[in-house]
Amino acid sequence: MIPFWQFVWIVIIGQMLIGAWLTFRLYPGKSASSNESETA
Amino acid sequence: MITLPLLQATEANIISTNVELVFGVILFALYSGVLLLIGLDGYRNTEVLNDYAIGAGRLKAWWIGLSFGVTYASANMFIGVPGFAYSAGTPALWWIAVFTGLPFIGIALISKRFYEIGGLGGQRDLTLPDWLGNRFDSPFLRIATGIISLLLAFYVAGQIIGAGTLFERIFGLPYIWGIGVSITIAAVYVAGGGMRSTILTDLLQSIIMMLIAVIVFFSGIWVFGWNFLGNAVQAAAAEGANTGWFTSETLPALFGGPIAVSSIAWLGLAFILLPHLLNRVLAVQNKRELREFVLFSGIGLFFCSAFMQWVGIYAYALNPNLEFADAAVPAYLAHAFPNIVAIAITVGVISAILTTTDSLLQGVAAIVGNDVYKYGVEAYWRGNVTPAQIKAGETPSAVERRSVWAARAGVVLTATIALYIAMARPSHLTIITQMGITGLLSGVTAPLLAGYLWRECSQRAAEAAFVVGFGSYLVLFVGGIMESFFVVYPVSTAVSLAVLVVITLAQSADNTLIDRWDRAFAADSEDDDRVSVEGSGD
Repeated sequence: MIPFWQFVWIVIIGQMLIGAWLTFRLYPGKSASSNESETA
Repeated sequence: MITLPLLQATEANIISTNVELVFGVILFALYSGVLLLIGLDGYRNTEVLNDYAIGAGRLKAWWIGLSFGVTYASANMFIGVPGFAYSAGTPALWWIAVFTGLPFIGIALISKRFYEIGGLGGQRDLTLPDWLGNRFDSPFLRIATGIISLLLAFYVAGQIIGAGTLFERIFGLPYIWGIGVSITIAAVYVAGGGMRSTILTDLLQSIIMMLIAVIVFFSGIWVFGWNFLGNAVQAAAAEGANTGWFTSETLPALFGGPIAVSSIAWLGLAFILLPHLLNRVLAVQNKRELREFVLFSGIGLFFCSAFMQWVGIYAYALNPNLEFADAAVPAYLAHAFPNIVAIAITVGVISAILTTTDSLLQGVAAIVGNDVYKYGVEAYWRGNVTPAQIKAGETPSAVERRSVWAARAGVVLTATIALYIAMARPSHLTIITQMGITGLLSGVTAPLLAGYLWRECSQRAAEAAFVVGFGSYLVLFVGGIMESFFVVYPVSTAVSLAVLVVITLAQSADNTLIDRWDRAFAADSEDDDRVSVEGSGD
């Protein structure tokens, strides 16, 4: 089994990636044209 | 009066000569000067309550995002949390495992609709009680959450106790001066410049904090070698530290097993619901900027939270015999850096304390100005303005001016209460801090979640949930039935949610609220276009 301190990094980086993925999924970017904002 | 600290400083931890003390004092004075200048800029840019409470939509989304991240992380991450790792070993790393990425996921999930609901029917909501009051059309929820928001003064007290302790250890400044200096600086620039000054000072502070976190973390390379984390953990284990997953001896209430860890995770996630953090979402200029806001919140959270706790492990590996766990970071800094650098870093840590203090003061002040004074006194009591006029942005300018000054008085009031609590120097810092947070969250969590998720939730149900949630907190915690606020909070929230569901289902549908919800989401995309056209000239 991996040491706990390595597991902590995996958890943190995993959560950051999920957060980033959610952000791009849920929010249209600034440059998005108005019809893209309908995808909400 | 300067001679007293100069004499005492020779006893202090990092500073050992008067030259170093003068360096530290000058650095802090320069830094305070910059903060006060930012306060002056904010004062010049603040005319109406909209400016004071949310910066009138003139702040860049990435500034607001970073501010969210660093405010969430707070001074605790730079002092108390490394102390947990110092005393409990690696199991304490659960703290950063749940307090770094989870709030990022939380704010990503919640911002969108919270923002949309906050813009319904006229002027954008300014505060959390404003949001709840408008969502449920409830003067009661507005005033009641407004008043219990003053509980955040406990949290402010916790911050300045940390600052006072740091000033005392580093500069040899008497404790009472340390708390006085830190609260006064924050109160002056927040009273003057409101949200604008809070966000701009947070921007400066966030850059300092992120740099410090990264530098101190990677300084492990020259202390422990390239495999610094592995080597530090091994060295700590050799000194008798726990390097496993859970702890049964030290801090088991936090890191004792899956249940303890789940309860801190729940609190970490709920933390983003506090008014001084959620009001960041309302300050974003338009919907298209939410992505930038959320991403930078994540960046701020990551850099301010993921690194500093490791220093507790480093410090234990080097010296397992420190008298106070909170001294782990100063002790490590003194070991790993030349004194001058260590002093500069410590001044930076004091800035971490100010980011949370200023946000709390600003959050409470905006609530006092908007919800307690403008709605409570001017609208409901004296009838100088109607709630509809306020929402339409047609408040008479005399009322508006008085409300801004009421908000400023709110800063002074909160700072005074916090100073009074801190003067007694209570020994259990975490308990003081958490008392305020848990009380407030016990009341608002259920109405907030339902307001956000449940279209059919009724006004009466939300009001009852607030009363029952806050009441359970009083009975269980203040009444002494449960000792751990980590347990009290989930229990009172569960009771409050149950009440909310039962009452909503028992009543006939509340069509006024449902209609408004439907119209709001239907009108939402047009509204967004209008706002962005207006904003494009900026």
